[in-house]
Amino acid sequence: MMNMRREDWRLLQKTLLKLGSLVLVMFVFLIFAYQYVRNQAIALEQMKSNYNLEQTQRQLAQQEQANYLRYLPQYQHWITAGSIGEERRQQWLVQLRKVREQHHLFEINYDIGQQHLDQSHLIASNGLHRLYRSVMTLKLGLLHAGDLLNLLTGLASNTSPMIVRDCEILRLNEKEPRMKMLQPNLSATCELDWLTVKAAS
Amino acid sequence: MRLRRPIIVLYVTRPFLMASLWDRKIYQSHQVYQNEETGYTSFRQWLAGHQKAIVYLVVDTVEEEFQLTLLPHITGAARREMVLRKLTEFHRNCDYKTAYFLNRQTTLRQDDAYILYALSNSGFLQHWMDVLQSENALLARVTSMPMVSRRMVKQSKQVASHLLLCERLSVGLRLSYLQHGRLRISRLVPLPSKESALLTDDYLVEIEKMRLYLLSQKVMASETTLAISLSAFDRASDAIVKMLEQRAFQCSIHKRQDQIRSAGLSQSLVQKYPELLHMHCLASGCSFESIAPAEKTRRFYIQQVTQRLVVGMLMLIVMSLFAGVYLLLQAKEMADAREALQQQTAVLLQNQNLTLKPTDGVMTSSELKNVVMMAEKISQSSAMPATLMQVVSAALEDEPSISINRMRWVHSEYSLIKDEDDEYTAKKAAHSNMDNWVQVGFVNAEIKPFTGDYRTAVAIVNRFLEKLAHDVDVTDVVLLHKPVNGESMQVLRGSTSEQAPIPTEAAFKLAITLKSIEN
Repeated sequence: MMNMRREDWRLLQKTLLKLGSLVLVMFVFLIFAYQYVRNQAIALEQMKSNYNLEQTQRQLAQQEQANYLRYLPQYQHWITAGSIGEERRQQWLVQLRKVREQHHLFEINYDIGQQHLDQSHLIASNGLHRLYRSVMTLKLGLLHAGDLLNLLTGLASNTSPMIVRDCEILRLNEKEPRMKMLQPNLSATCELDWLTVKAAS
Repeated sequence: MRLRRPIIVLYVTRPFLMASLWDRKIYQSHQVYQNEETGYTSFRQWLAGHQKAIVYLVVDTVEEEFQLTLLPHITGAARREMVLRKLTEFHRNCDYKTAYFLNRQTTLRQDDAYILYALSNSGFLQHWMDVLQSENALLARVTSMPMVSRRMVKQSKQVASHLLLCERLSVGLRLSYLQHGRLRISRLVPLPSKESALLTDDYLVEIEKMRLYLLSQKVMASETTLAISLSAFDRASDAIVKMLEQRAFQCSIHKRQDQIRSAGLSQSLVQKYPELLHMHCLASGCSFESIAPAEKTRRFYIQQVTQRLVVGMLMLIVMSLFAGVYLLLQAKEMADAREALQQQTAVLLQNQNLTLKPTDGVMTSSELKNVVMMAEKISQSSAMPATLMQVVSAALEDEPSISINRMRWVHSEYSLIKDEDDEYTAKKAAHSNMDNWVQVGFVNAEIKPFTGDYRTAVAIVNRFLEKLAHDVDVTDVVLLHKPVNGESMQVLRGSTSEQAPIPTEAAFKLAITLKSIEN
């Protein structure tokens, strides 16, 4: 191995400069290529995330549409049935009279309490809609127990769905039933929950 | 820049210099220049036309020394340093010198034996070196003829332990003694005549002289067989061999026909200039110890460094180009993938815009579902007291003496239910959960007519209970109040006196749990 002297370096200077320039050019080229690839990679990643986002949104929209198509008819059915929306007390009264007349029932005393938000969590409500409850009491005389069933069935089939919570039937006369006069043999007291679903106020 | 350069091999002797030009190991031409001013000028002019060529120089002279020296067996830089010091010590005034390893001694110290070689008078060489320096020739190596001869012996695979190589050259006869393939000593003998008859005598005389010298120096023993190798290029060789064999020498001729052919030389040319074969050996790229000081070959060294730098940098540039192209190809792939994704995203967006939203702006689908579920649950939670009535009615068919006074039906989500002064815990079904509601009936009844026969009354009640318990819609039946309480923990009062009033009623109370409604 020979030791390099200053004049040797001078001889090598030109070659080294040329090679150095070439290496510099290649270095710049490599940096440019690397940056270009990096930018493309970032753009691709961004596009992938956009695509995934759009795909997710599309899936959500499809799910949304499927849910709409599935539940909208039911929703409309329950609106018609009275489970969703405001209580229709006047319609209920009309229906009560109709049932009474249809089954020739004795007079019926009703008491519908003020509607309030149901706190009992009997039915879970997760969204913006809440369950509202009105407690209803019906008192009536019965010729026989079947009258009560006729009344409740008649109301259930033609008015808003209600939950019958409590019914008590008492025998009125201790002695033999008086068949000559049309008088109730039994008295019935029923408590019902009128439940409706509507948007929380 | 040419990576492969032509090669000039210079054969320098005291009377002349022969310059041969080689290209890819093939002989091209040669020139002979006399050791005088006109020769130098002509050589300078010829050399000026071959500035790109790499120059090797072989010195063939009588004035050379072979000095055996022993050095301790060491390695690495210390060994190099010690050899250099020894060389400088023995040949202080010689510019052209080198040392090479001969063998390792078998003595106790096991020293290394080196041959210190030097040109004792290199004055004739100086003029030619000046021309080379002035023309900036790329002098790669300066070596001596015996070293080239040693390499040629190695190439021809001659394995004799004691070999005397006899080579007739332009300037005379060179006798080289090789011990186990390593050059021990060599001498050049100028031959006054080239006549065949005279040559034979000269050979015999010089070989005998050499043999006696080796014996006197105790380089070999007297009984040692000395193998003689001749390079034969003329008719005299056969006669010489014959003469030598008559004198009990083991003799062999190497005609080197293959080498002559591969070098592109002719037989006649080799006969005239046998050293052309040695020059071919150099032109073929064989490596030799350089006897010249480093200064003489500096330009070549710089050129080598430059060439290596260029090659290295070119490799780096090619690799960078490959890397760059690879990166750009990757970028193109990514760009294509991005474009494809962009199109797919556009299609997605277009399809999304076509998606129907029936209640757009009213509520979300999950809210819609939630509302529907709540409404359905309300519907599913409804129940009627009909089941209780049917169950009781069916049980009463076989017990006409039981009269119902009161019946209460409770539909509740709670198990514990109060009725009048009683508390009753309904049994929920095993698989039920908190959402399951219960239907419980409380029945107040009595036995009619009752004549005070409690035993019969209890039997009737038990039958009634049993009938109820067997009903498929009933989960549990509990008798809350018996017609008469005969338990030890309760108070029982009355009289058996005939004057005592006869009991008129046998009332009892039941709690019935109906099967749950599955929501």
